[in-house]
Amino acid sequence: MSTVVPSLPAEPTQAAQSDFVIRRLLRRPTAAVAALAVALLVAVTLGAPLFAPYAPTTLDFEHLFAPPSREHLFGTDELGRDLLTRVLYGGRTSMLLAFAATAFAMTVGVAWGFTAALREGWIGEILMRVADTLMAMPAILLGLVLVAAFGTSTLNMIIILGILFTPATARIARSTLLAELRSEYYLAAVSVGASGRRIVSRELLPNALPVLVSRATLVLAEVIFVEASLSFVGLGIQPPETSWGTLLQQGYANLYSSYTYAIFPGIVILVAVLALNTLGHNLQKVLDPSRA
Amino acid sequence: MLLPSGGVGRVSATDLTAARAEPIHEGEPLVVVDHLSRHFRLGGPRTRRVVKAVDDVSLVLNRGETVGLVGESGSGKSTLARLLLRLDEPTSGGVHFESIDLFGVSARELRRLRREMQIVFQDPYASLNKRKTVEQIVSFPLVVHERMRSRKERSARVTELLELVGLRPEHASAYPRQLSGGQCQRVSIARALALNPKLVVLDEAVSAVDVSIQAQILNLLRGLQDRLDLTYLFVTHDLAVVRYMADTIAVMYLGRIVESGPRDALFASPQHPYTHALLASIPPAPGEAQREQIVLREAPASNTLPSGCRFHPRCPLGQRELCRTVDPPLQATAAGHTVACHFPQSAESLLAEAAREPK
Amino acid sequence: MTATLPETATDVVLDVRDLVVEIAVPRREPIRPVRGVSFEVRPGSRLGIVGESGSGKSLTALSLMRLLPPRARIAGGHVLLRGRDLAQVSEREMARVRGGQISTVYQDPMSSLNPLMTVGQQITETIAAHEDVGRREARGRAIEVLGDVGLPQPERRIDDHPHQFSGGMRQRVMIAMAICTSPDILIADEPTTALDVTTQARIMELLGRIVDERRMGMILITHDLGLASSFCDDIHVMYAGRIVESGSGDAVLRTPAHPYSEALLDSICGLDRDVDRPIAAISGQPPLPHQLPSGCPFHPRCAYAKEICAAQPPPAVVVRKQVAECYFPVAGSGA
Repeated sequence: MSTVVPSLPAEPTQAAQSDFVIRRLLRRPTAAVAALAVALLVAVTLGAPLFAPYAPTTLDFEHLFAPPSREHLFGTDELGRDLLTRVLYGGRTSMLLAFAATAFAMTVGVAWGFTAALREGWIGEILMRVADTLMAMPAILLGLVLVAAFGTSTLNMIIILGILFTPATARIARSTLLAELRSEYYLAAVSVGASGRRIVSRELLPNALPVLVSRATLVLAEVIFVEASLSFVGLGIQPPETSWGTLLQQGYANLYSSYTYAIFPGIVILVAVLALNTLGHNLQKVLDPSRA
Repeated sequence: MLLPSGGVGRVSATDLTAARAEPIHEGEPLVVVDHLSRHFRLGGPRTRRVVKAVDDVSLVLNRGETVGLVGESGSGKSTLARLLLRLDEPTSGGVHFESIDLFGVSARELRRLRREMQIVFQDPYASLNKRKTVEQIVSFPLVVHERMRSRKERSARVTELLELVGLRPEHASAYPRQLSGGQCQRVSIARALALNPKLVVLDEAVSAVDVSIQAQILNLLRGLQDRLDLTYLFVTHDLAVVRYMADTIAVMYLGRIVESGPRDALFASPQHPYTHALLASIPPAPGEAQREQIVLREAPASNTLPSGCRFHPRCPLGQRELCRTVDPPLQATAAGHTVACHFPQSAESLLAEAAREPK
Repeated sequence: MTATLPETATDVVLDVRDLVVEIAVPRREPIRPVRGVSFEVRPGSRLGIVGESGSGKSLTALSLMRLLPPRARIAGGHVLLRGRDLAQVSEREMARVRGGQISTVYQDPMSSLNPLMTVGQQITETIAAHEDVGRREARGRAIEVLGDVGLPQPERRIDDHPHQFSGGMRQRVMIAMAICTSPDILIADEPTTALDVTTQARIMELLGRIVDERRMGMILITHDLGLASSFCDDIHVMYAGRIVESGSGDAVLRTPAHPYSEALLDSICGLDRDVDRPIAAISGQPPLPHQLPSGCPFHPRCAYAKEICAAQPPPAVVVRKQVAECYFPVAGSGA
């Protein structure tokens, strides 16, 4: 072999791109804190039965509206139920709902957006105009309208919350795919003779993934927020089910009896949304350094 | 430091293509481009403004030879290169590959044809999927065409290809961002060769790498052409490089071929003013006096094609009535090649005439 | 470092001495893409800095204007503009120097010009930022300088936006912007690389004329050895952060002293190349700043390398009419 080619630059060969990304993400202090907070929240809420100090139905008539104490870290409510337990179980509902709705929004949104990108003619135009129309309405108002029309069963909530975020996801998915379609590696894939489907799934999707992953994180944050808002006004999760929003509502109703009742759920919502937003933005920067 | 003249190492190029009924031999036409045009309509559906990126171009590529396509930005050379691979659809005209109509075949036949023709792009990094390893990139054509079903076989073939282009087997697990520009181009070449194509289009393939790397890649390409019996369409703006690489050269300007012919004939006595200008703009080699500059007038930025000869706004002789009204066709010259000009002549003669032109 | 610097020669406008640029790398040793570069620029003269990617030529140019990227800084040496060390002055002072005494013409005019402002606005803004003149006078000067760079009908085109010009015209506008304040030094960083070849020659011609007429010192940064040799009076060939050869363009081109210059010239595909033989390509690649070979940075790729080349960086020696950093400079016998 005549041409001598020197060795590669001294960067450890990564087994996969993903741990490279995770490592870079965790090097940023805000991202690391946010990731930790998210991980913690998800763990304790989904694992509420494991982490909650009491069963959710345990009543303690001795201590109604009790302030925070060693037995009740967040205090108790009007029926003597431990608030920390209620926040965890409520969080479970909120989280599961949020994940489901996000999954819905991402799946439908990406399919919608990719179709619009691949069929650029009038089909694509119509798809995007529908998206624009939906996006023109404020999310919470649209949510209220849909809930009023279709009711508040769990399935409905998932679908309604999902619908609220699908159009914007579709637009993002479409523009991302369009950008990839203009790239030269795409042209190279076509010239090799690969079929359309294969190209999209094997070549283009992995490159679109960074944007979509960070979008999903941001959607998750917003879903939690919107669900809490809807439940707060009574048009979301209905009692006896608990979510952070319903807790907030009950806390608000009993504000003069116990200050902790409203504050703790509020803080938890704040932390959740903040952490997810921070994580989402940092993911965006790490996964696509050209846009940092 | 001279390279050993053996070129690249010994490799057995496994024959992966199905046997053809009538193989095209060395020297016979492999690709025939017939009055090919590609027009782009600008603006909305009402406008009639059209950009004629490629306008009535005809060209023949013979098996085993290199055709050089020279032009600057806006000449249409890259559009033409892509049309040849059916990466774009023409407005009119056709391309025949091994006597098969490229734009008339079924999807299935097209897939088969794509194995025979590949392309290497200019930007080393943009043409490689940055989320895939070199191994995945180079084996992609094999996967797509379901050659070598087992991973082991594909891996072996990838190693073979990497060595063919001067890379080491260890490079297979790297990502494009870990490689230099020259190395990325080698990966692109390896990918292009994976299915043993007959035609490789090189679209400014050495323009984006350093001069010293350029030399390596050019050597590599020439060695590969001999070894693997490849036909090249070499697209570039650099006349010196095209002279080194090509057997036949076509000079393009604003979508048309303005001069073309065998390399030696073309360089011995170029005839078109644009060719003269291209030649004159190359800085002289050590010891050579600066060539007399053929000064082209600067045309204003415009989307409309000039009337008559499309080169006339920039040509030293372009104020002539004939040049402004009539578009010159390609005609044979005494020097053995074809030229599209009303007043083809040598550089000295052109300078003398230009000096006599009224301002 | 000596306590007092030797005096700059009186006719030298820009005196760069032992310039070192360092880039901080997180969790690793900082890298030095420029490792001790020195040169002088006189009024009316043309200096060429030639190198491939990774040679450090662009960073050198950027450091003269103190426009280094975030993690980079001048870690050593002096940049003496009329005796004042630009490496030490405050940012506020530097802002006055940039555009006023040193200007740069960049490679890509489309990205260097503001697409939203007219050409006239951009030039008058530059003039107003550095000189105390009224708007009308500034506009008059803008029209004048646009005419100087060969723009036809400058009084009409002054109110056009950049996208209304062709590539060559835009580069002329860039040049106008760079010279409107009559700077002492004009840096041209790959000014013609993004242009068509037929336009390149005219732009270079324009630059030459301007430099001669206005007695500016010009620094041409390029990868094109042929271009630098034909255009510049003196050239410096850079490799791995150091100047490995300096001399007149003619001397370096005809009888290169450093093996890298020689190898580079041999690998250029010129019109006179023998088409039947392979090109004498330099094997391997230029080294990355964090992986510099020991001793002479070129030794792994050098045809004449011996043991000492890997052990110690070579000193600068005078070879014929050039200076080269090599233990075994090329004994030219004529091109």
